[in-house]
Amino acid sequence: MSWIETAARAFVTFFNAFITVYLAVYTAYLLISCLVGAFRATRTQRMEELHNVVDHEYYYPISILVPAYNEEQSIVQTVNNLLRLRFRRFEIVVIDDGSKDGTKQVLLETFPFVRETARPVRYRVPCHPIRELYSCRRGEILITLISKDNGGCKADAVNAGINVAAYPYIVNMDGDEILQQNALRLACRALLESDNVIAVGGNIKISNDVRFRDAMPVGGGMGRNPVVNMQILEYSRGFRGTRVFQDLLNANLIISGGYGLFKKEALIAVGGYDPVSKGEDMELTVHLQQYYRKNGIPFSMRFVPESICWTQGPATLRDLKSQRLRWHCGLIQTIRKYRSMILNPRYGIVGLFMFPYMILYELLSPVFMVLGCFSVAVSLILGDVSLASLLTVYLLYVLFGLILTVLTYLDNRYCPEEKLTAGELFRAVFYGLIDAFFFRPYIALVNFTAFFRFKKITTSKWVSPKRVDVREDGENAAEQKSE
Amino acid sequence: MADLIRNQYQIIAVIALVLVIVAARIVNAALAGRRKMAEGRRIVLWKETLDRLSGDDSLRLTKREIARFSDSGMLKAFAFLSENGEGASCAKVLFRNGTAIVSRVEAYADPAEKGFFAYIVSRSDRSGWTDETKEPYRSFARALVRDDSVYCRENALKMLYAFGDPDAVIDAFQTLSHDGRLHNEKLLADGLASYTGDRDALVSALAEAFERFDDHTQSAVITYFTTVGYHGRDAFFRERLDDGSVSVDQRCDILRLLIKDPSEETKRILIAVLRGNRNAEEWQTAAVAANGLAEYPGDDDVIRALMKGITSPSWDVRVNSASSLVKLHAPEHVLLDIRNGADRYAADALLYALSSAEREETE
Repeated sequence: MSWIETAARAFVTFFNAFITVYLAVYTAYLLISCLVGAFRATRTQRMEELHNVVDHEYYYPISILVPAYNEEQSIVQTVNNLLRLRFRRFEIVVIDDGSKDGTKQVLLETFPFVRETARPVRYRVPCHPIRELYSCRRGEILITLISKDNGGCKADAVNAGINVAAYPYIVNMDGDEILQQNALRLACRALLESDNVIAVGGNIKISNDVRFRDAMPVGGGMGRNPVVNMQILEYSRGFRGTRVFQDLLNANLIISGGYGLFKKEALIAVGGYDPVSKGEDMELTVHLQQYYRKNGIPFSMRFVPESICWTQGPATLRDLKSQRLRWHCGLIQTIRKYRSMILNPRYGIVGLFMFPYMILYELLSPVFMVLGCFSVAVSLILGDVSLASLLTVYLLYVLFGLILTVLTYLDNRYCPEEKLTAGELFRAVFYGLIDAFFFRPYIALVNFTAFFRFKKITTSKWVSPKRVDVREDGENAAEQKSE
Repeated sequence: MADLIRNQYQIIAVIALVLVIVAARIVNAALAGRRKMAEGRRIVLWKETLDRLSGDDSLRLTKREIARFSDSGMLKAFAFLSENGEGASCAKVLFRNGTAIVSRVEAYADPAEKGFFAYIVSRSDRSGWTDETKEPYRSFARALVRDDSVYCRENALKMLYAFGDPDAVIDAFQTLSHDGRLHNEKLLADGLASYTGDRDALVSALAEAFERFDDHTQSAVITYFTTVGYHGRDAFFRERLDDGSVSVDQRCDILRLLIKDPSEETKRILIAVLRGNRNAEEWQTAAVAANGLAEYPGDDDVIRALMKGITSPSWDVRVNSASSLVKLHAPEHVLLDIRNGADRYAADALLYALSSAEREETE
């Protein structure tokens, strides 16, 4: 036996032992999360049926911040959809972050904006200078347009919005999104349940092929673009389960930048969003966890899956890759920045469990995947396993994953009142297979490369992916604009 | 191939697992259909009971019928009938069998069912109810207010507001204060606004019991007073403004209450608050006072106080003072003094207030 073979066997033995424990913990965590998620969903439905709810749509005035960079294609539609929200008191603040296209122009042409030269801005969180402010009213709703120097990131634009926002609660969303008509009312229920709630995260769904009427989905689902369809399946799996479990523990480490409701004072207390971070949403959530736990201030951050915001998923592999690289680099940055929280009992369950979990199962999972592939290859060369056995196990894994993915998708269909067609079922199974064979390994590989491209990505500027036209009911859902 | 055959146990295990999942879903779908059918049957059962009782003056339910009140499905069916044409009959059933029904619900229902039961009672037709028939429900609500669930507490309070009995509301508020349960202040104030009984009696009872509530509940009561209008105990609230133990939030609530009813005394207080509170911690009260002074036109003392307010280190005090000066149509020389003065922040605040007023007029 050569030393290479000895070393290879030692590696495989050690790695197999490690990965067994790793996967056992992961499976247990997922199982508990899914059970908690299912229990919570059933309970919520029962409570709703038994009128065990608190509702009030007046007392929480909300400023909706819409940061926009090169969003001329979708920004007017976004504002129009926000105007259809059923909520008594809110304002819309659009932040044009020095767009190079006609974002500002289309807004000025569509709405009767008047320039406000005298309006003072109170810079309570850092941001690049605000150059111009415009405002107009649509009924009771005040719309403000901020035109500012490009800050190079979404965080800077949102911070500008925080500085201008008039109301004590802030909703942060993207320039291409549709906030479902009842989203704010449902999110505010969490505020009514406890005075300690400082943030509420909502559910994000992919809107590319969905038709809307009055900011409510009325049809559509999977379309023809496989990249988008993969994300539909991914989001269906991701937003239930683990986030609900984290909510139960008050250990949410991410309130999506796509849709989150925050107490303004809490944002100001932590200095707003970090413009350096590529994962500004996670950075902010972790910062809030750190701040409130460190200072012993009672707080809670809630996740309300019923409160839904619709977003456009990247329509090309190139955009998707760029988005996921940015997310993974954001994760690396956040973990580096808050490393003092790791295994630190001062931060409770977040320090002792959630942070190590994020490192092992989010940050390093692509590394373990690559090592796993290497280990399998070594085992095959050494003759420890046969190719047939490997294929069998892999196919079983794919089959099991496929069933779960398809069932989750069917449970979360966008328009449950629409009849499920054979075509839709076929598409779900078909894309479920592509998801298991190609999409997930592809995303893992992209995340793996993030470690090598970290410096380049963290110094790059804010780019907006290609958008599609979101249409109202009665028209074809979306026209994909490929590059 | 031989390897594949050797792995048959793994294949069988996973296929079995898949079959179990699929079977579970089929069973679930079948159960959903049955649940729907059962809903219809429950409504029919209640309908039969109501029909039977329509010819019976005693309106007494049997033991089995009373047991239905601890079953969520039967409660839903009862609520459906109560809101769809059988409101009066359902209400009669409730008030004639109060003690038995409440005993059953208290003993056997889970918290969500108790909350739902309170909700049903709160929305039931109240004609024909007497103090005596309400009593079991009142004591039920008093107990439910102590529940950990915010929904139970809210529905219990809704029931008490619907009964229109001030003492029961006061009692519930005292219980909340005593137990330290921070039921949302906005829900409390809003709930009081839905009170169906004699509003003046409620206001008097709340004022009488005010000091027995905790700070949180007191703020809700003041917000309610501000909404419905309140006269008679201004002096009491004015004194509280000087009480150091009263929270800043409550002091702001009191100022808003006093502002609703402009008077010389209130003006004096507002000026004192605006002039007196120069430190960072007390800016909230000063900001509220600056706002309130907009109700006193043609008064030099007010203008002088606001001129001082506009130079405050607090952003909100400056902005509110500027806004009030513009609303009061302060003399031109006053505005010029501020615009040309050394305090750039004050000048900015005034400029913004002027342009906002101009735009509002145009719109």
